[in-house]
Amino acid sequence: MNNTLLALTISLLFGIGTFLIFRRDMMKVIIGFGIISHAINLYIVAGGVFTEGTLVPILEHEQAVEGLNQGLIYNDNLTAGIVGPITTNPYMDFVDPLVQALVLTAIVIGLATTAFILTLAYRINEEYGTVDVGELRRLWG
Amino acid sequence: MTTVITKTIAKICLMVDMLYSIDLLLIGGNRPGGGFIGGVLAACGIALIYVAYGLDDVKKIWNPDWHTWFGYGLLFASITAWSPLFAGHNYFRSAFDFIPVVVGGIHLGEIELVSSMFFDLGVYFVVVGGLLFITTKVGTDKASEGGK
Amino acid sequence: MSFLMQHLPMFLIAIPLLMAPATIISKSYPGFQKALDIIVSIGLLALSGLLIYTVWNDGIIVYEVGEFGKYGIVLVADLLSSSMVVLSCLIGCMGLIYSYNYIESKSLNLTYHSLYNLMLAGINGIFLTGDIFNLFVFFEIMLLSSGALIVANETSKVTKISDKMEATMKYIVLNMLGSNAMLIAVTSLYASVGSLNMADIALKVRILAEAGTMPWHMYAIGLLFIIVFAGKAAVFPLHYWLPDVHPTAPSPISAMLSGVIIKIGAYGILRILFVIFSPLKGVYGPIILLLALITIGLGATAAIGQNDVKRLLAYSSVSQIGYVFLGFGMGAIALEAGEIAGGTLIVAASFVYMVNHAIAKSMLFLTSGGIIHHAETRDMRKMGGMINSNPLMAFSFLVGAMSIGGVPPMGGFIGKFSLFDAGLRSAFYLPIAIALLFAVFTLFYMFRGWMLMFWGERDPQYGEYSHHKLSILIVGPIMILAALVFVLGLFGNPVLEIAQTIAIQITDPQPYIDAVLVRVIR
Repeated sequence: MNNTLLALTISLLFGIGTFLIFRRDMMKVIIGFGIISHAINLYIVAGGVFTEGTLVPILEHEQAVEGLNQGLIYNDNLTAGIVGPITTNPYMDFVDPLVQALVLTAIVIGLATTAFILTLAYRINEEYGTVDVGELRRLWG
Repeated sequence: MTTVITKTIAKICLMVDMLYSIDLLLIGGNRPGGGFIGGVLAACGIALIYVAYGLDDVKKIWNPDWHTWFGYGLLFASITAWSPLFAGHNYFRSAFDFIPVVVGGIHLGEIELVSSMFFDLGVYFVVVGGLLFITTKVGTDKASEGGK
Repeated sequence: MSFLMQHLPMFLIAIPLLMAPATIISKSYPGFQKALDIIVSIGLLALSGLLIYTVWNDGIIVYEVGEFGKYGIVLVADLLSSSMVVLSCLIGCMGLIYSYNYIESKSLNLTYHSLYNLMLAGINGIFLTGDIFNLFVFFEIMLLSSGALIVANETSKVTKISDKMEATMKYIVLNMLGSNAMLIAVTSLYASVGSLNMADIALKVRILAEAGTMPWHMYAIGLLFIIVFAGKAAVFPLHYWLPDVHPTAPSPISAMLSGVIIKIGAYGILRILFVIFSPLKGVYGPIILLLALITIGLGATAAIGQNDVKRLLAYSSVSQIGYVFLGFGMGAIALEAGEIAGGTLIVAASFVYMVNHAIAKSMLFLTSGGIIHHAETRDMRKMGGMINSNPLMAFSFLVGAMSIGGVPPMGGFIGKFSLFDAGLRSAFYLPIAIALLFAVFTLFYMFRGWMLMFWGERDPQYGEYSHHKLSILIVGPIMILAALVFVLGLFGNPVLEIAQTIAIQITDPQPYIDAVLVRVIR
C-alpha cells in the first residue's frame, strides 16, 4: 500500500515538473526542474527496501556472527561464484543506508545547479529584459 | 521590510539560527546533520539580516568577502581529504577516536573526535560563502531596481 | 617515489581540486596565481604521462578512495581511462596557457582559474572513477564549472555577453535534463542489481544474462544511459545545443568543450557498451550505428552553409563525433556476431579517430581564437587575404583542416582510413559508403572555410586588419598541437598498434572486473 502511494506521488511530481518545463516562462522551467529533482530524490529513497518492521543493517558483533551462521554473506567469493551482498537466508530485512547517502548528494547537487541557473536567468532578464523563452532567439541552433 | 518588528525578530532569529547551525555541524558525524545543512541554515540567518537591515547598511558595518570564505572552506576541506596520506592511508580515509573526560578521578564521559568533522567544517564555509556570494552579488545589482 | 606510485590515480583528481581554492585565495597576486597554475598544469600532464606508462607496463591500477573496498568509491585506471586523462591534461594545459592573453584580466583573476581547475578535476574524475554514482557527481562538477566558464569575458568584444548567456542557458538546461535521466538510470540500476561499482554491475549483469533472467527494464536502463551519453556527445536527436554553445564560448573553453568534453560522451558509451552492458551490446549496436549515420550527414550538411568560423567548426564537431560513434556501433555489432578480431580493429580505429579529432579540433578552435583576435569578426565573408597578414594562422588552420578532412600526412587520415578499412573488412558496406560520401563533404567545407578566410582580398569596407602581434602564449599552444597532429600522422603504424592493445582491453570486460573485484579486501 505504502509503495503504491509512493509510486503515485513520484509519478504526479514528475508530471507536474514536466508540465512546467514546457512553459515559456523561464522561472517556471526552473521550478519544474526543482520539482523533477525532488521526484527523483523520492525515487532514489524508494529504491531501498521498504517493508514493515525493517531495521538498518548496522549490526552488533553478536548479530553479525549470528547472521553469518544463518547464511548472510558479507563479501564476494568469486572462486565459489558468490557475489555479495546476498541474503540467501534473510536474517532480517534491510533498509538500505546507501540510498540515503545518494539522496543527500543529489540534494546538494540540485542546490548548486538551481543556484547557478537562477543567477543565469536573472542575468538574462537583465540583458534581454524578458524571461520568456520564446523571445530568446538571437541564436539559432 | 525594514520595520522595527522585522529587525528585532531578525536579530533573535540570527542567534537561534547560528546556534542551531553549529549544533547541526557538530553532530553531523552520527546523527542527521552535517556541514551542508548547517551551512544553509547559517546562510539563511545572515541573509535574513541582509533583508531586514538592507544590504547597504549592513555592508557599512560588516562586509566580508564571501568569495574568499568559499575559497578557504574549499581549501580546508581539500586539505582534510589529503591529510590521511601523511599517515600512510588512502585519500579521504576517515578516522575517529574517543577521548575520555576524567575530572578529579571521576569518569564523566567520552568525547568523540571524528576527522570527517573537519571536512564538514570546510563544507560549512563553502556553503555559507557560496550562497552569500550569490546573494550579495545579485542583491547589489542596481539595474534591476525600478524595473528600468 | 613509491608514495607517488601508490596514490597516482588520485593525484590527477585531487591536485586540481586543491588548486581551485588555492587560486581563489591568491587572487590578489595575479602573477603568482598564473605561475602556480601553469606549473601545476604542466606537472599534471607529466603525472598523466606517468600514469599511462605505469598502466601500460603493470596493468590496471585500482585505488580505493577512503578504503571501503568495493563498497566505496574506487578509481580504476585502465588503458582507456588513462589515455583519455592524458588527452584532457594535454588540452587543458594548452588551453590554460592560451587563456592568459585571451581572457579579460578581471574575470581571469577572480574566477577563471578556479573554475578551470574544477573542470579539469571533473573531467579527470569522470575518466578515472569506477563507481557509477561518482561518475554522476563528477558530471555535475564538470557541467557547472564549464557552464560558468562559457560566460567568461574575452579581451576582444566579438561575442556579445547576452549571446553567451543564452547559449549557456541552453547548455545547462539540456544537460540538467541529461543529469536527471542519468540519476534515474543509476538508481534503477542500483535497485536492480544492488551495486554501484561498475565492475560489480558488469559481473551481475553478465550473471543475469547467462541465467536468462534479465529483467526487461535492464534494456530500458541501458537505453537511458545511451541517451544521456549521446546528449553529452551531441549525437543526432540531442545535437542542437552544440552549435550554439561551442562558438559563443571563449576559444580555449571551446577547445576544451570540443576536444575533451564531447569525448566524455564517447567514453561513457564505450563503458556502457563494452563493460557494464556487455551482454546487451548486440541490442544497442544498431541503434548507435543508425544515430551516428544521421549525425554524420546532418553535421556535414549543416557545416557547408555556415559563414561563422566557430560555428563551422562546431558543426564539424557534430559530424566528426558521428564517425566515432559509427565505429562504436559497428564494433558492437561485429563483436556480437563473434568477429573478435574485426570488432577490435574497428574499435581501435575509432579510438584513433577520437584522439586525432580531439587534438586537431582543439587546435582549430585555438587557431580560430587567433583569427578572431586578428580580424575582429567571426564572419568569414568579412575576412579574406589573411594569408599575407597572418601566415602562421593560415598554416595551422590548414594543418587542422587537412587533419579533419583526412588528407594523408596528417593524423586524421590515419583515423579515417583505418576506420573505413576496418569497417569494410567486417562487411559494413552501406554505412561505410554513406560515411565516405560525407567525408567528401568534410573536405569541402573545411577548405571552403580556409579559402574564404585566407585567400583573395578583404573587402575594403571592413577596414584593415588589426596590427597587434599575437603573443607567444597564443601561438605556442597552437604550434605544439599542430606538431602533434603531424606526429600522429607520420607515425601512424605505432599509433595503430597501441590503439589495438587499448581496444583489446576495452572490448573485453574480464580484466577490468578481475582488477577491481579479485583483490585482498581490507
